[in-house]
Amino acid sequence: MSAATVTRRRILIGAGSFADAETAIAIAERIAEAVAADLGGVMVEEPDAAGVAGLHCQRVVTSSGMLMVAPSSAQMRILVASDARAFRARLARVAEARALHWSFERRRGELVSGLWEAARSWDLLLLGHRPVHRRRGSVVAILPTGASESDARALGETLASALGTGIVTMGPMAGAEAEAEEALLRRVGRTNAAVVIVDLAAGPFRGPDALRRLLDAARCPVLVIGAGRAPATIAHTTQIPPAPHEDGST
Amino acid sequence: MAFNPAEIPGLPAEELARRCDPAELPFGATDEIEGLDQLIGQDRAMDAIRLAAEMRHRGFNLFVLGPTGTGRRSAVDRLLAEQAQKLPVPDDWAYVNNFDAPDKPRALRLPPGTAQRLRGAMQGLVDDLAIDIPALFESDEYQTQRRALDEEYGERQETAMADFVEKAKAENVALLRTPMGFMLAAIRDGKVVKTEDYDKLDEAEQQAIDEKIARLQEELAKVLREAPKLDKELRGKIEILHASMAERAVSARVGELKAEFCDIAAACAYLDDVHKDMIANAELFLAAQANAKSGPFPEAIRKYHREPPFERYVVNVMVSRDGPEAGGAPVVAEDLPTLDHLTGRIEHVSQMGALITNFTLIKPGALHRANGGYLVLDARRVLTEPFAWEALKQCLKNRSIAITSMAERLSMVSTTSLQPDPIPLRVRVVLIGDRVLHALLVMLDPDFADLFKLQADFEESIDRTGDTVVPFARLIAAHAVRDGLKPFAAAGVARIIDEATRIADDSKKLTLHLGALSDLMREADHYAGEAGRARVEAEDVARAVREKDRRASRVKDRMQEAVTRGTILIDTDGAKAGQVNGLSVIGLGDFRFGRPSRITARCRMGAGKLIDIEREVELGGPLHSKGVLILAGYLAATYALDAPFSLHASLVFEQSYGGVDGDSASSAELYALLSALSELPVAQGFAVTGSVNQTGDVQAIGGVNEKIEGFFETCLTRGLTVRQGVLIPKSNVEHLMLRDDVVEAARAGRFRVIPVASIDEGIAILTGRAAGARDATGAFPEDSVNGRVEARLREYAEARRRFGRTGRGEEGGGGEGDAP
Repeated sequence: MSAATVTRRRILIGAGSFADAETAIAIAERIAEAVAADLGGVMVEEPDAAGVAGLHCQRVVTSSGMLMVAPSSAQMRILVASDARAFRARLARVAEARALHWSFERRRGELVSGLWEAARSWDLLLLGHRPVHRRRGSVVAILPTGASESDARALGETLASALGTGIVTMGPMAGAEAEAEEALLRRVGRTNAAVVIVDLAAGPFRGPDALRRLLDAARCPVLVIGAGRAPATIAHTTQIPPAPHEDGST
Repeated sequence: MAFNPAEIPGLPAEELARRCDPAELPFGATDEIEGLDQLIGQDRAMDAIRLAAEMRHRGFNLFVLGPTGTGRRSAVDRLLAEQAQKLPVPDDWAYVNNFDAPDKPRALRLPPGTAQRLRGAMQGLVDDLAIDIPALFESDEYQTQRRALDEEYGERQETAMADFVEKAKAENVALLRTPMGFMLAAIRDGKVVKTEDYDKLDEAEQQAIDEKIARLQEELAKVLREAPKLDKELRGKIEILHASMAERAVSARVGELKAEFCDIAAACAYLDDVHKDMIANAELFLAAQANAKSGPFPEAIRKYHREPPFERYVVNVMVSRDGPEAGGAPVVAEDLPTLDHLTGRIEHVSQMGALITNFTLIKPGALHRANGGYLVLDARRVLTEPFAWEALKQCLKNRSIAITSMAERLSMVSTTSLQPDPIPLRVRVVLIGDRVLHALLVMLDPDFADLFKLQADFEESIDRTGDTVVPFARLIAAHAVRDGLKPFAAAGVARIIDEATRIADDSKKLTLHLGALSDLMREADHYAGEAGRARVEAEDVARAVREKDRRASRVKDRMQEAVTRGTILIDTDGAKAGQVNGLSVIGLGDFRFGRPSRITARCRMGAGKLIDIEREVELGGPLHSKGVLILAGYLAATYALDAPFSLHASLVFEQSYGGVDGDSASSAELYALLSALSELPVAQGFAVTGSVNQTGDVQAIGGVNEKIEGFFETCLTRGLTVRQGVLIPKSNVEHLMLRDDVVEAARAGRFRVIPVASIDEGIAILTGRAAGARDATGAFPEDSVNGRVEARLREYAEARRRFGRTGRGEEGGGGEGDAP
């Protein structure tokens, strides 16, 4: 592809908190350095967290291992609002530094489901996850069974070079799909990864549930290729426009 | 009997100046003889300098004293240089970083010629390691090991988290992420048990949920707390890895240096410290390489050792010799001996508004450069520079060089500073100064005598004998060659010898103020050149002397003019009672001239008071006052001893408004007083100089030549009579070295120089009347000078007694006339 025909890649970053978003924004920044990109951000307020905060036994375990009193619902709302503002500001700073278009939205609901819908008009979906330790990991590219080359690998190599780390490729082992996925998730869960890249179209992870499990297992940002080609489950919003058609019309 | 001053004989012309006969010199010109490069007549001083140069014990520093122009400095330089050649070349000194305490730099003592080598070797070491270490850290070996460590520890933490998540999942507990951190929530039927759901559960289930949530929270906290510990453990492993990688590179290179300096223990010890520090700070080399990749120059020629992070490996050479073959100890002369120039200084640089320093900013001083050898200083300059003298003494006492800044001593600067190792000091200090300075130091500085045990006292003159004239001529020859002058003919040399005697103010001496003679020689050479001569003749030297006097004699000429025109009253003929021509010398720089002054005395009956008018108006200095008091003592002890001293007299230097000091005119004053008392006139064609003691002896004075010539010029201007001359102390005869015109006038009998040894002798010449001596009855001859003086004093005493008895008429009341 010649320089004149570089396609702008549109990256949507989704997270339930600023701590999760910040890591993803850093990765998006690296991607934007490699390919011109528009950036979008979605802050999803998950009701589950607010719902369990009020339990009398509930405490918050910080990233450094401290146990703290859980916030009240009202406090949780304030914290979420504050995180949203921080997410938005950080996104704006990164985008404006590179003269990129950007947009931001808040949603309420389950994280992956919400982002699954929001990502239909985007080329890449980056699910944020805060780091649980400071050691830089590798870029993990999930390849479909038997595949040695794929978009995930290509993007992974670019990202690995930008992050100054290595790339590890993984794929499902032979066997039943469920067991293979479980084994793959176990491997991912025990790998020190900086980011996990998966191509929804190529598999092996295809739906929001699988993506959710992958995100929980990876405990690091997950970069989803082809999120826009996933089947729609909700309508577009005014803030998140639909993907343009090839002729440029919306 | 009429008194005729012309009949009084003076000294023969030959005794008025001792001229050197060119025919007695064993050469025709100075290019026929070998010049003498050494000083003559300075054996005492030269022996002292030699002793100071050769003596190796401490405290025998040297003070060279004497007037300028006597060759002190050149003698010191020459003798020290000679001795320095015989001494071993001193060691090199350098300051290096103290890696454990950077504010206390270490002094490194190295064999001569080694410091620069070590510095160059360290620069090469840094440049080499700046390439070697990064290459090692880019190697597959390191990358593999590093990756393995990162992966191992990354996987350990991930595994711990994964195990926890699986365990939580097995207990139906989900891990939720919130803005503040993680929360755990029970899962029931695939959904999170929220508060409202929890409240609906029975107590047992609630307790079960509470228990597992609490337990799992603790476990999760424990897992997350492990992360920093694992980080620390990983860092330790990485440091060990780095150290082992760096150690290989550093050991190889440092080993090469240690082999090169294997016979120098100090260098090897330092290299061991460098070895440890480089391994511990290998990241400096990695950072330098990273910066290099962004620089404009290829890495191959980058001078890494110049970059600030590598300053810690600099060898700051303080003193470096050219090697053992360099030849001798140093002889250092510091012409501007400020505190910094003497002891060195610690410089500071400004960084972010603060002044900072490090061991590379230590600069050496003269003491460092002279260490092991000799240091020559001008004493006055050292003493006038703030804190320099104290610092020098401290270094000599402590036998080490301690660097302090003036700002620090004055507590003017509060900033980071250094305490470098003091460098042991072994030096011989030579101070060059004048006698007054030396005397002040001896009297007032308690440390001086202990530190400067030797003095080299330069003579101002040498005896003029047959044994010294020829060496002196050779000295003149050497100066002519040194200054690139024409050869001096024997007559020219003889004239210079005469001038040397004149400058010495003594016909039996030759001055050792060679500077003044050199100036004379250069000027004479110029005149010889003007005249187109190939050699400098006596007339060229004479012209140089004349011209020099002429250049400086404007004031003298104006004074002479005032006398000639009668503005200043000076008699040079006739006779007057109570009036004598005194003589004084006025000095302006190195030019002196004599001038006559009228001294008058007036007397009457009184209470024994002799008024020195100069002292009364504070124009007389203490020495002048002493002279007047002495002559008063002479009077009181010589005449009318059986009567109260009832004289009231006043003495004054007429038309003198500028101050008078010295007692060289005290004999003239006494003559004036005796003339006034005896009412015998004094011949005004004579001038008088000489001090007097209480027994009437006339004592030697200074400047006799200038005084005689001053009165001669006054008489010459009015036309010489045969009745003119100067009375001088007999003890000054051997100081005579008069000008040719005075000598010729004396030879023609038109002017005389008359030596006198006593007041009686002098007053007889001046009055033409015998002074008179006491006979067996104790009385002076009636018509003698002394007889008349004594008679007058008795008259005063008797008149005073009469007034005292009758009690009338005396001013100030009756108490003044009472017996003591």
